[in-house]
Amino acid sequence: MFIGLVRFGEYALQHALVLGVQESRVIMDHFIPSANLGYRGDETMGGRTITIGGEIRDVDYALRVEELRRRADDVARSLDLEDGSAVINAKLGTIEITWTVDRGLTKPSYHATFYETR
Amino acid sequence: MTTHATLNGTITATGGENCTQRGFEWGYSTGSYPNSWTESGSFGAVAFNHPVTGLTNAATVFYRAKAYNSAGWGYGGEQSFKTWNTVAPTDSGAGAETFSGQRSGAYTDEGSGVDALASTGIPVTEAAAGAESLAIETSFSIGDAVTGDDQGSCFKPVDLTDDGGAVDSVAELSMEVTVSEAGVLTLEVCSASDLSWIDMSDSATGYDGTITIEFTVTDSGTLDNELVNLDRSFLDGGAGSEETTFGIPVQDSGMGADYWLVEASFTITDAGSGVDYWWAAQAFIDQSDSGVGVESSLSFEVSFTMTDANGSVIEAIDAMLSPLIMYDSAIGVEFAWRLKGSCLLDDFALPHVLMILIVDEAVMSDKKIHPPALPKRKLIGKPGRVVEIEGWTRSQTDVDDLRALDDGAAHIFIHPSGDTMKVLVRDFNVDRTADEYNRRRYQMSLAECS
Repeated sequence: MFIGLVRFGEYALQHALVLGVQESRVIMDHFIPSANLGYRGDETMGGRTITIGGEIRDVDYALRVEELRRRADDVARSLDLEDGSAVINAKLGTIEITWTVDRGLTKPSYHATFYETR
Repeated sequence: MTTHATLNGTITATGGENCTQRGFEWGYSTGSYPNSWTESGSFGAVAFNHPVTGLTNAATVFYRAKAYNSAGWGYGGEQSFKTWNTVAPTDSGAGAETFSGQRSGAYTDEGSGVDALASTGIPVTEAAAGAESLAIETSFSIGDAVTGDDQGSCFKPVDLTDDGGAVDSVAELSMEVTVSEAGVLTLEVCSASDLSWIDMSDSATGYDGTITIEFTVTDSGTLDNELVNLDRSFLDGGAGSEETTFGIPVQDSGMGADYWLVEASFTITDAGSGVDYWWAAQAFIDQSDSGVGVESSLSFEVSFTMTDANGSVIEAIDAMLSPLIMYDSAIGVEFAWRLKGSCLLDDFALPHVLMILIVDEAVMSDKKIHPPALPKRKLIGKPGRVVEIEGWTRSQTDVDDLRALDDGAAHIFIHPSGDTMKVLVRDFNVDRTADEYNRRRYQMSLAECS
């Protein structure tokens, strides 16, 4: 587990193990006839996409899963990775929950995708 | 080995009149107490206990405390614990197996400081006042009965005694077991590993702990990795495949009988102030099909979670025991497990589910901002969850039944947790390979629908 907690609003994610941050910008290509090189313009930031993987270790795993799902509600909350980086504003999107036979039913792993937003 | 226990009880209130009798009742089924012990005297609101011996092996004992005064008998709530398993070993065929090892010791605290149990190297840390005693004993035995199954057992009881003050101690147990089979093959070793546990600290109200042990079973050959978390046993009567009533199949691919047993149970009794103790019993066996053989390895993942009487987690420990590896040269025994609980599609139990993946997709849109800056993102909607399931079966009938569910109609999917959703079967695939020809692996994709 991370030394710090990962907090989404007031909610602390369970046993976060993997963190990925993807940053992108939206670059538009404008072709110029007869030119070897077109014009490329930076349209906007893409906003960071942050994926957090972890484990739920609780016999009440079904409740823990539901707690996570309920936060994918189009509400922007503060996402604090507690790793020294600045707190950002983000919405929770896709969530994957996996139960495998080698970890057992009460230790599902999860993958949550957060989208930085204005 | 005698199976014994000490029953603990406390008279919490007398109603103003001391009790003239107190005692315990116990039996092997809940609500039934054919055995009883009482003592007479004048007893106030104090704790008492009584040792019981000759208990049945590997049984759950139910008991309750009782006390009597002129108002009649009063009874405590029913408690239970499991006794050790000391099942006698047998062997499946030719060849002899031995499996032995023992380690025991006792520790007495001298008042302060840190002491170590010299004979075992078990360190004990004392925090404050109070006397601790700690006894750890492990023993293993596997006998060879020439024919029949072989099995062994391992016990690790721990007793922590608190004399009333605070007790803090940490015990670490290293365990080393050598398994050898004479003649046919040499089996290897459960190597020394750390098994750590902490109890302690009963001063007044004390801790009520729960402990979970999970066994990860890995087969060295072509088999799956599986998790088992159970306390059951089964016996193979000869060649062929068997399936236990709780759904653990065993493939005996050669000759001889195969036997698998895992058992773990723990009891922590809190007597208010005074004595707290727990014990743990783990019996594990591999089976040593002595004629043709067994290939398997075991590794033990042990996790302890201590909770107090309010359910708050006090301590959690994860430890990995090094694997017990048994090498064999020829045909093996196949273990395969499944996720605990039933995974149902309507009323059809999906066979041997190994993996469940639930994807709750969210479709986002980006609203571009000028000048170029962070966009405003909006969750447009959710198309519904998708459930991916992987499992296997040896039964073509199961495959046919699963395929019949791929009918375009809505079905009710029930997760082992009890969570339900209405779904359509989107994809259903079955694979078979030459090396596991009897094993049909299936993948099923379910789409949540309204």
